[in-house]
Amino acid sequence: MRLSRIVTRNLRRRPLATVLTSFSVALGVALFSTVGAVRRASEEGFQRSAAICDLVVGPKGSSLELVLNSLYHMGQSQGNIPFSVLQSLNERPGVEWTIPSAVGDSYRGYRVVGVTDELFSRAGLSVQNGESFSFSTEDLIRERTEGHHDGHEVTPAVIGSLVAKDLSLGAEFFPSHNLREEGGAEEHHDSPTKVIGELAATGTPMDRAIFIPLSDFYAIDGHKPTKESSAGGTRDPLGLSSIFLRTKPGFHHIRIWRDLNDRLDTQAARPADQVRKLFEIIGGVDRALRLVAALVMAVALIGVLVAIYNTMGARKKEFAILRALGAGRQTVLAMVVAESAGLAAFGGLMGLFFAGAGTWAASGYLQTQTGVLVSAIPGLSELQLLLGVIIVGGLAGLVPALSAYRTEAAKHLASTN
Amino acid sequence: MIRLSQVRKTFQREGVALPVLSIDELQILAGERVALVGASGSGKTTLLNLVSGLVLPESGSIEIDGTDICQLSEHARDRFRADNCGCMFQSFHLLDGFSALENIELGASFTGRKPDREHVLELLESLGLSDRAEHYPSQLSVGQQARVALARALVNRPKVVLADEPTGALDPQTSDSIFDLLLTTAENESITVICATHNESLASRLDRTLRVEDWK
Repeated sequence: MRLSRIVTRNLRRRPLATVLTSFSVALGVALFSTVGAVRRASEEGFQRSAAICDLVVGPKGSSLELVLNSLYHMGQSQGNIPFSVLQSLNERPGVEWTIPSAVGDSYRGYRVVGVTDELFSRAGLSVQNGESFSFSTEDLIRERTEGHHDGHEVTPAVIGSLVAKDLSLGAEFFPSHNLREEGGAEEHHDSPTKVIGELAATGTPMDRAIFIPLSDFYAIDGHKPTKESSAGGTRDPLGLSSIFLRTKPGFHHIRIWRDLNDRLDTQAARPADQVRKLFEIIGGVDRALRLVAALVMAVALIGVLVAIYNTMGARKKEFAILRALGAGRQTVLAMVVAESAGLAAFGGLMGLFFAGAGTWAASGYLQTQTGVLVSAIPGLSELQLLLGVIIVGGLAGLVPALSAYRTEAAKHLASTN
Repeated sequence: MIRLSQVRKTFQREGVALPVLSIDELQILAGERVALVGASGSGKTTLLNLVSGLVLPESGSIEIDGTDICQLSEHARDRFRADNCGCMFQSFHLLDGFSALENIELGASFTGRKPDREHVLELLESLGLSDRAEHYPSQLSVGQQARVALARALVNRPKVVLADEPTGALDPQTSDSIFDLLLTTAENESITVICATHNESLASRLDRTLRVEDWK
């Protein structure tokens, strides 16, 4: 009979203790793994979106808020920048491309974003069903120069994959003039909008946005200039909420960034830096959660040690019998260490299963709220965690194992049942 | 052949050395069946433990088929015991969480040889345990437990069986039948038997009786 079978048999002999001890390990592993998986998926999702462009240009204010609002469709818009910024950027030799965007409307909590069609190719968004609209930055500049906005009779919309849960291809709807999650109020009845395309899922906040051509965005009744707004500034309805910008390689990036920040009406934020800052801010919470999870795991592994150690007294005779049958002290030691590692492995696997199930259950909610897709399938770091738990479990078993190792067979065989 | 020369064994109790065994010379021939008799505490079990290598004497040598087990490392002694000795105890010492079949297989787990399932099944059949293979010790009668313990002692085809009051927990009828099985198997397979017992009647059925008191 192999040692592994003897170990399995021994664990099965005490089913309640085995399950309870493993369960406590499972809780720690599940907590640790879930916190890590959510954090990693969020950061990866945010960094993926951040990689779309080098700079986000917007009105003065919080850089983080600008990036969150324009790239991640979170929070409130800080206002608009003059349209002329787009024109001047497009004329700058160091600019590779720009994508203007305007926000301010929503539908059932999904942002309606006025963009030009370059966004889809630049951001790697592919239309999965239906088609995209055709309206380039060049078209926008030409319309503005000529002083008209040729919106469609029915605004074409391309929706993110998550929006497709509420809107199907061909569906018509009226956007609302706000960015509030609940939506509903102040519907733009003058601008019926029709879904003409559905984007493939990206696992980023882009999945929960509705994209329409900027010309149609400006053609909406509430977005037309009024006497008060025509003075320009951050409330200019014909301005832009933000511009996504890619610079040419070399020194251009720093110069453009500095020039835009030197202006009184604009700022340029580096999305990658802002995401890093954001995760530094929430990193404290993340670390605290992981510390709690690590403590739960440590307590659970001490529980494994105690559970096995408590059986040592009653198992002296068992070890003595095995010794009499020819088992060496090292074999007995290895058996107890393997039992401890086995308990930790069982608990670890159970924990990864719980974490997977929990993540799977929560992934829908997380994706709806943030657009970030959290995978329920364990990755390399989860497998490393499992390996670590097994090793620490085995090490914890060394204490009772040494007690077993020192068992004097002759002494314990002499006593009767 | 088993040969003990100048073996001295003492136990420490409350700082005082108590001599247990002092054997100048003892030889047991291969295939010989020997009874160890003596009062409780006289050293019968200690002698069995010495021969199995579970304990070592302070001095002297213990040879089994020419190998002085006192000169072996503990690891080598364990392996030697697994390969050459079968042990049987008064209270059988079966492991609760293991079936009859598994308890017998445990006896063959530490030899380094491949497990011989066919031999285990043959043993079960010859001892009338075929229909009890998957039963746990608590589901077996005392007699059946004794037979499982005997099978475990024989599973490695040992050179020597060391039996410590193997029938002490049995009624006379079951005791006789188990003893018959032990002796028949030992005779058929030329196994040396050293059996510690209080039962003079059982002792008389063996080839030789050794009185442990003679070695004080």
